[in-house]
Amino acid sequence: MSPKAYLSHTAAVILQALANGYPYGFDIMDITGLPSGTVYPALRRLEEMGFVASKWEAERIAQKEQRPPRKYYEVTKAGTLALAEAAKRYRFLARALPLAGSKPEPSDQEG
Amino acid sequence: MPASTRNDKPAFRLHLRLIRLISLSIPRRLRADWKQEWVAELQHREWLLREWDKLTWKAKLGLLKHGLGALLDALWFQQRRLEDDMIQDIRFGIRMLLRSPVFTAVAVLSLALGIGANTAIFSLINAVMLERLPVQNPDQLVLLRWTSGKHFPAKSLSGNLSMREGFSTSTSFSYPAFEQLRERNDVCTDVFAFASLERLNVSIEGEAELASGMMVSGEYYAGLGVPAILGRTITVEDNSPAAGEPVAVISYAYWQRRFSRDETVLGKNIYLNGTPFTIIGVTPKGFNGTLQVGSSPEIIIPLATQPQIERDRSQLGEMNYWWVQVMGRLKPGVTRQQARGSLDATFQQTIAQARPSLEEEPDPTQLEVSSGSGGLNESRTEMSAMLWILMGVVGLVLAIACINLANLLLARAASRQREIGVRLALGASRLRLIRQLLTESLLLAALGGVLGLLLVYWSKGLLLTLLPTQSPLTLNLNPDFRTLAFTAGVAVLTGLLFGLAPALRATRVDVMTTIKDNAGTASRARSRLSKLLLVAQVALSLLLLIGAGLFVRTLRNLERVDLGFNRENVLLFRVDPTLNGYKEKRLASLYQQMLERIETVPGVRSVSLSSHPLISNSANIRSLDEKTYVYVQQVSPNFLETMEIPLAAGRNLRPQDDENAPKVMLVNQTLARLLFPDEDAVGKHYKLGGAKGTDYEIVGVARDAKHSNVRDQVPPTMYAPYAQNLKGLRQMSFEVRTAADPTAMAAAIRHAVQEVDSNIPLFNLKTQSEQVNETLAQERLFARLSSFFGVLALLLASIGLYGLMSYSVARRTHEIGIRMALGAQPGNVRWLVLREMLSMVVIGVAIGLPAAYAATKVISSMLFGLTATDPLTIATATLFLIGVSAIAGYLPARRASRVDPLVALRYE
Repeated sequence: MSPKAYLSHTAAVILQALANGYPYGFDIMDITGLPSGTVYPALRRLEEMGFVASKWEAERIAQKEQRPPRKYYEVTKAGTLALAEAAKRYRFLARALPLAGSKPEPSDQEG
Repeated sequence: MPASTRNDKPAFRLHLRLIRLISLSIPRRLRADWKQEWVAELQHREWLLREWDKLTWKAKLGLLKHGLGALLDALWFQQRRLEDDMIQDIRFGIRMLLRSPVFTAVAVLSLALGIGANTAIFSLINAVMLERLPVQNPDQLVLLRWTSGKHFPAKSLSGNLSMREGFSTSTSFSYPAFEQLRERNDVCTDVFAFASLERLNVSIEGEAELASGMMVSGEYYAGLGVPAILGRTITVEDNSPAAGEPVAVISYAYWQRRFSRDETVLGKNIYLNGTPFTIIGVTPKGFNGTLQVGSSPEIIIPLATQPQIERDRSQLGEMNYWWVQVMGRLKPGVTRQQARGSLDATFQQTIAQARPSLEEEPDPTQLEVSSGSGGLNESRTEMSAMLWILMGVVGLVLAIACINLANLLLARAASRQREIGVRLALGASRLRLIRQLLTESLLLAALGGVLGLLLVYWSKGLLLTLLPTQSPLTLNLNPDFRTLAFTAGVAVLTGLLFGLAPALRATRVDVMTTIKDNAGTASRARSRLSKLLLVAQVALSLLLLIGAGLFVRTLRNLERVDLGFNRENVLLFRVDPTLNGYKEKRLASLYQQMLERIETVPGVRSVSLSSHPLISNSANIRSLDEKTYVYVQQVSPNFLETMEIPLAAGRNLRPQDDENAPKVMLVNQTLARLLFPDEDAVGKHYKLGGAKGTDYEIVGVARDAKHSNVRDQVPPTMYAPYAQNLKGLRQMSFEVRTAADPTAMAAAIRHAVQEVDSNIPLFNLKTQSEQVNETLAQERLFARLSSFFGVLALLLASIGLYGLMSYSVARRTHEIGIRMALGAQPGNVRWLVLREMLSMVVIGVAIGLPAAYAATKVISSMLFGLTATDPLTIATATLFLIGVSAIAGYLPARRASRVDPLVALRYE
């Protein structure tokens, strides 16, 4: 896939969120304020375009919470290039989202 | 999914149930992953909230809301599933079609014929009836027309006038009326006028030829929003009396044909009917003016130049001569109804102004404002009836092709029963299999559609000849969006039509019996459906055959009509020297010179002149009183002799019957009977045009001969010498009787005419037989098309019959073997099979006959010499159908009778 492929603003924000260290769908929702109905289809599209790759988390973390393993997403090389390209167009993209580490509490409401 | 061990209220886990529910819509191979991702996320979130001690009702609602987002996510997967399955279906379908290439070829070809024929007729309908003018916002355009009684308020009118049931309606207006409508209007942004100029005598750099023309008002091009692609268009200044040298605009087609798209054409001088004009512009390709559909004027000039073009007859100030068509562009927001109110007021004033000069009180006349998006549309209505009949015929053909294919597919489904059974047994859903089978039939239909479209594209030129017109039509038959959409729609519809029943039938199988390959109930049900389809096919074929028979016999009747004159070895052509200013005496002597010159051409036996060529759908008709009328033919003295119309009594016309001699005429037998029922007409006097009219002596009676067309009864006709009516002398038609093939002499005759005056072009040069055949073009077309389609339908039906009977024989081999073993004779077996087939044919005929009775009523007005219920035609068609199907059924029957009982009993 060409990294020049056009990224919508939403897709760019989601990609940025992943790059900032929020690998799970729900975390992205919290940090970007986007609803699940937007984030997930966008993730599917990004994955189809080859900008993100998905993996399952380790079994033992899941067992601790008595649930199946969660799926997390990583930005691929092509995704990094595409993000850099998009950053030129959306100038506030990089500064719009905080870096992971100071994980915010999940909001009750989606944005 | 590990179940939660915590003791939760059911309402709490609603979001998980929601996910489980939504997951059902995810394609199976992706479902588990999808479900896990969502469940894990939601449970993790749940866990976090619990950790933070915030699992309030509000939070639970939030979870549910997140879960609802999964719906949108699932939606994204739907396209995935569709594509996946579809590509799989298509790939499988292509493999299946390639595996039986003969079946595929037959199916695609018959569909291509069916869909192609439908597309062809539709593209005609599209071009003739649906196409809109290629101008700016054609929907804003309106066309003015009026409706009146028998006595409309004009002394004379040119353009289209329709008189029906005491009402007359037309789109022609006088020029002053147009000017007032334009000046006093407050509902239109533009009001403009135009009029057809059927023939213009054009001379460019010394070369004379004929071109079609149109006159337009100065607002015409601005009002339509049509720019020039070269130079400029005609403006208001060009149309004013004060304009300098008259200007002309030429059409793109003319520019291409006559000037090879040379840009230096601007400023060139051309002589139109002898008057110099300057070419100022070229109109865009595809814009053919606003005249009747299919006409394309080549040279367009301002209306104000009418007196120069038509010499001495200025119509610009005439209140009582109605000849221009008026269109307008509505102001935004104005409805046609509002426009009518406003414009009608002005129109009534113009009638009031003209009233004093009218001899009798005119009937009340009303203005109507109709849609102008397609220009003038009388010829549309004329052609539409024919086009709809053709559409019906090709629709039937497609229906038959569909039924035939459905039957073929049923047979194929039978041979694939094992495959289908196995797939069902392995857990494929019935819906999924139906989709697979439908994909295959849609593939066939799509292939047929593409091929059909190609067929139409290749036969575009042929298509135009389908329309019965005197002059060549300019129609845009290139497939446009509408045609493509139509073809695609038809293809999909046919694919579903012929595919659905077999698909439903094929998948309704009992898995166990199929796998054991026991031809059981399913195939019996299948053959019942097959039989039903065949009966329908037989009925439809009969319908087409009867229609074809009626059209063929109509054509034969028309071709065998005794015309009353000898159509062989006569060459016809016309000239119009009035366009070059010839009239009265000078014109008569020019004609005389031409006649004399042509007579000297070797091979010419005689040559004559008449105001109308015979069988050309044209005539000069004068009414004698309320009910009777007479066809008036101005002729040279030897007209009857040249056309070989025998004289029944009296003498022929003579060259001495000129303007100085007493007026004489010949009448035909019909007119003689009409005027003098029980007496000899020869020597009688008759005043044409009432008591004050011209007195004629009837010097002879001519045998009856058809006049303007083959269909009509011989009309009352009079032949008067043109030399005695110099005032009314106009363009004439020449008839040249030759000793041998007249077409070979065309060049010599053309040369002879040009020797007399090289500025007078010949037109409509053809033989009299060609002229007669031309008027039968539509009949010939219908006869040919309906026979072709009728035979095609019968062929398809017999293939179907043959296939079904062969299958039935094969299926019953075992049974037949037992019968033979028990002593049945081959004849009995043959009859057994034939009886089954004949019963289907008889039922088909029984349905087809009443259907034909109902359907052929539509075409009864097109028939000649027979009625729609002509017993001979119906009997012939029925017998033909039964005969052909008997042959189709006999072959399998013979095969059945040759079954070897020993082999048959071992069968299975």
